[in-house]
Amino acid sequence: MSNLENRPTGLARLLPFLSRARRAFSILVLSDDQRMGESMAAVLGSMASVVVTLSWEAALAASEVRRPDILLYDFDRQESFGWPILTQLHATPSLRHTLLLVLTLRTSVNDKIAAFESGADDYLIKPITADQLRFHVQRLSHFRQVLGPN
Amino acid sequence: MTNPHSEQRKVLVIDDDPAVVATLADGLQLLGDYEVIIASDGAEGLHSFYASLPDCVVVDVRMPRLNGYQFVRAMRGDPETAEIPIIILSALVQDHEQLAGFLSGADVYLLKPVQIIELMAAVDTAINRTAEQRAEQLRLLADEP
Repeated sequence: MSNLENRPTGLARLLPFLSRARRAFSILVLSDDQRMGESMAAVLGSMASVVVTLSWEAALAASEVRRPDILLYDFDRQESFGWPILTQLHATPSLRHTLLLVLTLRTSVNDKIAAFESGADDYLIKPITADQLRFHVQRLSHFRQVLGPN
Repeated sequence: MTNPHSEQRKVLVIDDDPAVVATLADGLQLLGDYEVIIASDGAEGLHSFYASLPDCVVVDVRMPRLNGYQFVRAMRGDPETAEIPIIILSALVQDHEQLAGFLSGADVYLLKPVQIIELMAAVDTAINRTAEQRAEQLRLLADEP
């Protein structure tokens, strides 16, 4: 990669720690688009246990049973979805240790800041390929394992 | 998003410690002839990024509003900014903290305190990295072949 590889902060030296972060993990999808939710479940189902919900109430109920590692919040189609829902998700006790990943068409800086200040840990802009989604979610899962619950 | 019309490279430094920002900005300007833009947290950093379109970003981790991990993910999650060279410069020295920085999408992780010559080398490394090299690192971190 570069001569920085040999420095104490080089990635190569850290990669063995990654193997300790590998474990089964679970994803809860909250989407306002059933087809999109099912597509994400198909893409992510090979790497994690995935449940798709289509309402805040259903997501809340599922979170209490599953305590997901990652909640993927996909919205754009329904006005009832938005940042207030994200704030509620962030404040939900059963999601206290869950990383929140937003998947949206909204590209503005103000939307990104609103998302992160509402509790988002990650922000992905659609459209996104299946590989990009899988890589992103896998790294986020590793991140959670490496740093531990907040 | 680079600035092809100017030889002078533009670096955005995001840190909530004014003393750190002043030291880095002075050093980069005096020793490296970089144009330096500064921001004091991740949210201000995002605004500054789009206002100035820097060639490289140097970002701290622990900051109010958006932290460094969130800032890096915001950049990597947008196809418009996914290839921007990013260096995390942090006092978080533990291995798992450094790995978390790479997992968020940083190209380089540097520890504070840093010498300006070391930071300049890292900026060059990050800027010269190709999209393929960046993608390869991210695949490696995602356990993908």
